[in-house]
Amino acid sequence: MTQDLERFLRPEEIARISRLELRARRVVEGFVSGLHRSPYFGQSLEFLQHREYVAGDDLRRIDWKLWSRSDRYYLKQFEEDTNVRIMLVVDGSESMQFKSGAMSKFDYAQTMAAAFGMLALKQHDSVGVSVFDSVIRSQIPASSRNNHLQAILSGLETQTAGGKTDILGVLRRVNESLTRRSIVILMSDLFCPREDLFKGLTMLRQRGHEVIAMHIMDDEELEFRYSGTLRFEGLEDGGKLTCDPAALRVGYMQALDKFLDAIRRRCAGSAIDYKLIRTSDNLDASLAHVLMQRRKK
Amino acid sequence: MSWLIQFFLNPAFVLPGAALVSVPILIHILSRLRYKRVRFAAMEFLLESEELNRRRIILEQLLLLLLRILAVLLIVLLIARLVLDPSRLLMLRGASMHHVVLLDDSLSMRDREGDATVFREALTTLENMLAEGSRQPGASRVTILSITDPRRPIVSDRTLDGALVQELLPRLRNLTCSWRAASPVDAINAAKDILAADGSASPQVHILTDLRASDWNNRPEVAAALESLKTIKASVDLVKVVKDARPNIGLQQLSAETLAVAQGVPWRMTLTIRNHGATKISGLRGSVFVDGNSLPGKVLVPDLEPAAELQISHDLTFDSEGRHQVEVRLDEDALREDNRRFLAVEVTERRTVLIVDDEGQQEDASFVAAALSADPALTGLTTEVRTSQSLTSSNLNGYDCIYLLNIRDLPADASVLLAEYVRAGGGIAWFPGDQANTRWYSETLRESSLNLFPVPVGTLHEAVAEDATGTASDQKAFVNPVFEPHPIFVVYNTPDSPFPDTVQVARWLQVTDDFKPDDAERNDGVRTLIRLKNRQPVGFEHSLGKGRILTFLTGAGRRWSNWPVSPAAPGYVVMHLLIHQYLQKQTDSVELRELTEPVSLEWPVGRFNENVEVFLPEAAGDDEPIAETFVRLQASILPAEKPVAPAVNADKSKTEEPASNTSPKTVQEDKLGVTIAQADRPGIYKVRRFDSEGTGTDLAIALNVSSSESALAVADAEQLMQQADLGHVRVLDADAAQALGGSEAGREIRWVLIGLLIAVLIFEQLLALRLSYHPDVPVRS
Repeated sequence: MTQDLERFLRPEEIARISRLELRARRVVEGFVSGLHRSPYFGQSLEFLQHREYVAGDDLRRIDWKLWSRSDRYYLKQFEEDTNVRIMLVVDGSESMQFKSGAMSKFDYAQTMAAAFGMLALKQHDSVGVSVFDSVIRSQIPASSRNNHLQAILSGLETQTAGGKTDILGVLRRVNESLTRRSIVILMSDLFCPREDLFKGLTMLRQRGHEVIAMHIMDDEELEFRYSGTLRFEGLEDGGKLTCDPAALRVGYMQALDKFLDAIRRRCAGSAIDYKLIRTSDNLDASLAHVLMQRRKK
Repeated sequence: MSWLIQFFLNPAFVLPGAALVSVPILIHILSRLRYKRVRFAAMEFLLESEELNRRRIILEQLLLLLLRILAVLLIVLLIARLVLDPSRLLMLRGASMHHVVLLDDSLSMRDREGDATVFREALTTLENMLAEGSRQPGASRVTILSITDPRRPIVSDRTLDGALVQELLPRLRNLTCSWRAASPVDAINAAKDILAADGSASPQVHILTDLRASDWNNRPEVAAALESLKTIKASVDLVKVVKDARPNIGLQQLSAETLAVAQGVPWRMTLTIRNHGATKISGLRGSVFVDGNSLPGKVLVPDLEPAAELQISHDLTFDSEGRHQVEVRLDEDALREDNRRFLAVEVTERRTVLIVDDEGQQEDASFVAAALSADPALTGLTTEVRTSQSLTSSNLNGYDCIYLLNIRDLPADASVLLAEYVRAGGGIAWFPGDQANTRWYSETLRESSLNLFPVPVGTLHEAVAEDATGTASDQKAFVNPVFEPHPIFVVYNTPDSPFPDTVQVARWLQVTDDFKPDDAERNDGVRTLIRLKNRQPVGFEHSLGKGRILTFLTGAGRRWSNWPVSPAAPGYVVMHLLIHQYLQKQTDSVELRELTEPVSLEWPVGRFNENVEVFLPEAAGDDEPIAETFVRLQASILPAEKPVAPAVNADKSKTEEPASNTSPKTVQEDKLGVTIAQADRPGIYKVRRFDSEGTGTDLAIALNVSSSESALAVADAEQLMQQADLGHVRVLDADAAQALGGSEAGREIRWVLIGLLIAVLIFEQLLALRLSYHPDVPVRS
């Protein structure tokens, strides 16, 4: 990856791009250019059957040779080219609004989800997206169609962070909606009841889904570098506290470490891929990290 | 709040400064009220941390707030110039301090250091102390006492402020050092009394002194007085106003055997001179002044080694009758006041000796008279030879001394008169003869009320001649006497003197057998002066009141010894002249006193009336001027003393021994008394008192400085501090004492405050660092 491209993949640079598609494309291109071999190399399509054309079908898929012989429109159908179905589950609760840098956690998750979708569709994988808070606010079913990207992007772009989290209910519904084995990528700050979270994730694992937990945290949440007298007002009705944060930093860090340790331990115990991501991390690096982790498997 | 102001040199800053103390509190409160809002997601961790650390955070915040308040307070104290001596801070005892300043004005303070005396240095130090102290308005009260007269305060319990300093400065500059010797004990006790009575203030005693070793070292009473100040929790500053001891020669004493002398007869005075310095003194000379006129001859003083003392005799002859003033002056040195001494001498045409001889021929009296006044022009003496019957009819006070020869016994009133005469300073010489009533001598005269005779005497004893075989022979026998060292036996005790062996005693009155010959064993105040070679004591001396009594058991004539005749006669003559000198009654018209206590006189009411005139000595050329040369005083009746002896027995018929009930101790007579406060400098004072008919009688008092003030060696402070538990006492130099009024203590406390401030700031920073987060990257807030 060149220095310039790396510079442009920093969250603060990505955040300047207002359109989600462009953000995702920038991330994917950066990611792709960093690979040694193209993800398209060795790819092939295998013919399955013909189907009669109905209005609305993609005209590019019409078998013109058969039309010349039969004067009827048939579409060539190929055996499905993906071997994975990916469901991106993005946390859109109020806590994801928090940001101390260029991007909020939700922005980061949004961009990452778009980039994943784009990358998966380029590989002809089937990908779907769910955005949730206490309910699933937006759900794009998994598909590998070429025009599915627009559906994913619009499904993400129209969402903003807000509302409380009901992680167990959401994961239960995601689980119910998945009819085939899928890869479920949860993008969240995981600020929700721990038991509900792992109950939901375990439920997915029990259904044979692979689960990747992308734990997105802000730098300030991880380092808590505040000073001076501040009044903290919790998102999602988390309470209020006026204090000198420096005096509480040690205790905060201890509580946070305890929380992260518990998450890591529980994820490892449930064979859930876990990745802690800072909103200050380069997005392509985060993307690459998750994919590399997948490739190892 | 006014009580706090006394502790600050800049009190105007105190109240505004106190208000500044509230700034950290306000900042703390405002910082809690003024905050930024942060919408935060990870509240659960923050709340968990807050719950765990709430108590610690509150304590740390409070500590930080206190440190900041303390820092502000310390800065305010520095600016306001806190003057605080922790050793004196007795907050519970009261708001103000009571300083009692003891100003040493004893004679040694006249020691000259350049043009100024040490006393002047002390006054300058005192002025500076007062000026420093006055910068703390209302902070202190001050009492100033002089060491020589602590009963009359120079300043008594006044508030120390600028007005007082302005009032005091002229008074202090006009203060003169006294000529008196004084121990600091009285003044220290007076200070203690004053401070003990004032329980509302913190007590502080400052003693401005030359700290002479003679006054302060090895003086348990002084150490005890200083230690006693601890009981009232007073701290003591001994301010040493002299730097080093300077060489000093002191004319320690100017004395004479008698202050009454006959005209034209050589009169000998003795000068005692001491070198108080650490270097040898050579070429010292003395000048003699009679009635203010310098005599042409000088007294040459031999070389004086350090700490050496010598006596020089100097003879004078007075050409005229009357009272003469004699002054001796040595060359001047550091303390010139102790180089001068005065004497007053009563000069008469002749001095008279009474010789009482009851022997019919009065041969013994004629021998004594011949010895004393063979040539009156040469000896200045005349003699009156009488019998004992005249004793009661004569005024005995007119005689220099009385010889009592061959007295069998005396009537009681004569005995009493004799006892009174001796008690008043007269002298008698007993020569009992062979007709002496030994019982009267041994018992009546030896009664405690009379005490006129020293030993019990028994029978007349006669020397027995022995031949070579040790058996008695008819040859005339005698025994040689042995003379003890004594002023009247100078002629016999001179080395190689031929005179002792010329005296041959054939008879003597023997002391009784129960008489213990050893003076030390007897310890009755009687000294044996002559013993015969057979160990028999025959000469005695004892004293009675102010007078002396000599007793000879060998007779004054030639019947019992060969003393008045050749070859013993020369020694006899000299001895009687010396007996006269030794017994001579001190004259009533002149006195020799030292300047220690105020001059007081007292007399029986009937003798003089209450009017007293005093002629003060005139100042010499370089003396301090005298305000007055004549004062008229009024004597007052003195309180009657309680009888110290049994009351007088009015029934004389019952008194076999008349002396016992007519003792002067039992007679209480009203007395008049007067104190001459103006007699405060050395010189000759003439006091004139008047009898009932208005006839004046003069008394000349030669007042001299005390020799105890001549030693100028400075006391060893360490040695002084070791004499008692004197932890509350500090010895300071005058320079240090000048700052003591405020700035010295202020400087000390200033450094303490600065150190404290630095410590507080460091601690505050460390605590603040601990309570804050300092990341490597800029902090967001």
